[in-house]
Parts: sequence; C-alpha cells; structure tokens
Amino acid sequence: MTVPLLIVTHGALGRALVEAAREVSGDVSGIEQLSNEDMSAESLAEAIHGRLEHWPSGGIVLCDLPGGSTHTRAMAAARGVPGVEVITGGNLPMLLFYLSRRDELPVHELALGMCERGQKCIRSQRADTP
Amino acid sequence: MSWLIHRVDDRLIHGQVVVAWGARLRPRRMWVVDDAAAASPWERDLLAGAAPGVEVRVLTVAEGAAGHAEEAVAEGGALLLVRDLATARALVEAGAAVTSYNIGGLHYAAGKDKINEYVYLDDADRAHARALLDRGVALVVQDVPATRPQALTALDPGLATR
Repeated sequence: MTVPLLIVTHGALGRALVEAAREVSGDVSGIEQLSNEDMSAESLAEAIHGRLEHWPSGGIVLCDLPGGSTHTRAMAAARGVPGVEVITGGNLPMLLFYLSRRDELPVHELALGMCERGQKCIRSQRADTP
Repeated sequence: MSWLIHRVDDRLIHGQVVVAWGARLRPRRMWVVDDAAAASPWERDLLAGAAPGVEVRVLTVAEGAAGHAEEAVAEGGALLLVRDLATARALVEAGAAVTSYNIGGLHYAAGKDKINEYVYLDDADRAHARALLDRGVALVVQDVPATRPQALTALDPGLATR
C-alpha cells in the first residue's frame, strides 16, 4: 500500500518541491501540499488535520523549518493520530527517496529512510584547487 | 540586556520569531505567556524544542506578570510572546511593565477586518488595543525586522477615530 505524503512549508516552497520532483521523477501523483501563507496557527493545524483524517493507516508529513509554524502545527494536528510521522528539514532528495520507495516501505521505515537520504545529501565541497 | 521585544503573534514561536527576530535580537530566553499552553505538558514540550539554542519558558499570565520585573534586570536578553491582544492586555493589567507591543501576526478569522496582510481585528481585539493604548502602551505593527514598523493606530481607522 502506498504511504501518503503531505508537504507543509512556508511560502511557495512546497509547490516548488513537488514541481521539481515532477521534473526529475515524473510521477508525483497523490502528493499533497499546504503553505502557511496567510494562515493563522489554528487554521493551519485544522487544514493539516483535515488531510490526516483521510489516512486510514498513517502517513508522512514533510515540513521545512524545525520550530516553524509548519512543524509545530503539524505536530499539533498529528497529535493522537496513529501512524503519522512528522519530518522536518525537507529537501528534494528526501522527496525523491519517498517517491522511489513509497509503495514498498511501511511508514516508519520510509520516514527514517527519507531522513537518512536527506542528511547524506547535505555536504559542502570546494572546487578551487588547481 | 533584559527585555528585547514583546510580541503579539498567534503562531507564538515560529519561523519569523526564531530566524528573523532571533538573528536580529539574539535572545537568550523566550517567554511564551499563554494560559492554555502553560496548562498543557504536551504544548510546553513542543514549544521548548521550537527555538534551538534558546531557553523557552512557558508561563501563565499570572506567572508572566510576577516574573516580568525580575527578567528586566536579568543577564542576557529575553523575548516575550503572547498569542492575542486579550492576553497582551491581561499581562499588562496583571502588573507587567510593558511599554510597547510588536504586533507580528493576527491572522484571518471569520468576522475580523483586514488591517494588512498579517493583521486582522474584530471589535473585541480593538477594545483590548484601546485599553492598552489608554495605558500608554505603544502598538507597533511589524512582522519581521526588515519591514517598516507602523503604528497600529495609523493602519486602523477604527482605532484612530475613537
């Protein structure tokens, strides 16, 4: 069974992430996204909870900024909902990992895999040596 | 150092507070004054982890007012957050010597009038705002340090023509 994903970000980041993943991967069907633009904390939490209600076996909420309203309201919305994992620090490699494994892995393992991939892809390099 | 800013923001601790104001003001402590959050261990835990490297205190209005003067002379700067104008007023009326509130985010809800992109007020909000203004507390609208601060009275004709 496919693990559902909801992306919750500041500004247009979520829309752009899905668009970028579409370019790389092709199929981004089923991915939902929400922005906190112009939303109160309460209405954002309600909007997130409204999506989670339709997940019979849990799923993943991918947020951008730890400590941001996207994260704290996702936690508030997911409170007491079985099988929902909330991930912060969302980036494109995490989303691509999700797309490649969402039909195979259970929620928790998929979430851990996304975190691991995302972290592995963050690196700093220099190319200024002759 | 002591008090750096008192902010009214329905999101309490969130990105603008942690990233933008955090970088500008470098607070050592964040006070969240909110009876509902203070009564919920779950909410307290969530807020405690929401501002990396900053000590977060989640307090009732009574606790916030009682500790306000002590914080004013404490070492290192502190930032205070309340979620609405009712709490902002209650804190002052409980004895906290607040001279100015930064109005950082009061988002849309049914029955509220738009003041700008991130501030919406209804009659109850305006009554709290007037009570604060009558006590000499300045109300300054500004979401992040990079935007221009504006007096709430200049933005809301309903407040100016009392």
